[in-house]
Amino acid sequence: MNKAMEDKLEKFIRNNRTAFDTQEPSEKLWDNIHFQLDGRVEPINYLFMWRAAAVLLFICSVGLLLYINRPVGKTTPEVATDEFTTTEQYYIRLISERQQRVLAVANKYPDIEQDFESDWKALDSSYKDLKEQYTKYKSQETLHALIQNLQAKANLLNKQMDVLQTILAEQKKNNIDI
Amino acid sequence: MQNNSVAQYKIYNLYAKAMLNVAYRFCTNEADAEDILQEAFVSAFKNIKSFKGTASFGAWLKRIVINTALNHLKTKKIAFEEIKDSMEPVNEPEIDFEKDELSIQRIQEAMKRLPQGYRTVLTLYLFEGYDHNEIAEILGVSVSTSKSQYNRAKRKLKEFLNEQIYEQGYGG
Repeated sequence: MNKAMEDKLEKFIRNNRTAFDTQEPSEKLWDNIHFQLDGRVEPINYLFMWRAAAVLLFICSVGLLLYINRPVGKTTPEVATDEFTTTEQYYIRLISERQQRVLAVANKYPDIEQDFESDWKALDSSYKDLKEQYTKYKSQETLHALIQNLQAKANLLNKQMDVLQTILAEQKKNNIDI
Repeated sequence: MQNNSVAQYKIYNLYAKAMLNVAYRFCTNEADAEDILQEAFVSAFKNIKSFKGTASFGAWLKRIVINTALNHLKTKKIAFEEIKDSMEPVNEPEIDFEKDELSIQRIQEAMKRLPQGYRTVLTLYLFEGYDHNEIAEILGVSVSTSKSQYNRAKRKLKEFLNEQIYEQGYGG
């Protein structure tokens, strides 16, 4: 009986071997294993990170040096100056053309010429100041002020021209009337 | 392979449950079993290069789990107490072992009550399928010690099973 019992017990366990596996691994178990394995390779990671950091620092340093010493640094204001020079030349040409036309008429009318002269001088002196500032500081604001000054001069000449032409027209009328 | 998390996870999924139950049968404690499993898997993945392929991977891994479990029991200083067992045959009724939850649960409960030394030998022989030569090697004892310990362990297990039957009215 004892022998039979032994056989049965052993047989039962051997035949139902997997049914005895009633425990289930918890979900965090793999995380723990994974974490521990990652911890093991950490020194290698650190080494890699240090290398990466060194390379990055080198690239940044070279980049910064190139940026600081770049020849482009000077060309950007030059381009702005060039643009300004072109604008200035355009207005100066425009102004001198109108000036000549105005002068051709204005010489005959010294009274009107006087008002115009004082306005013109004011604009001229402020223009000189602005240009001095601009050559020193190259600020965009000064540049705008300079261009506005030139535009004002051109407008002033336009108005003067209008005034003179009105006078001329009236004179013609008077001449006819006389 | 060593740093391949995906491969490691696949291996883990394949063996985790079986290996957890191996560990659990040694220490009969869920938390300890998980600790053992964690240590064993980490050790296995670290030393995966030492897997020569002479045995199956599962067998190789199981040996690591068992060694880890045995070390764990040693460090926890669980006394391998000897039970002074009666050598006279146990008088027990014939039990009809059916494959049902109850029988499995009863055997598991009886296993838990076994002293550590008995349970270790019984588990290795009956559940993990090692022969006495292998058990002798694993435990560092003689083959005859393995055999006698196993017989005593099995007798004790049957005693506990019979107690259950009388106490709870199982069987015929």
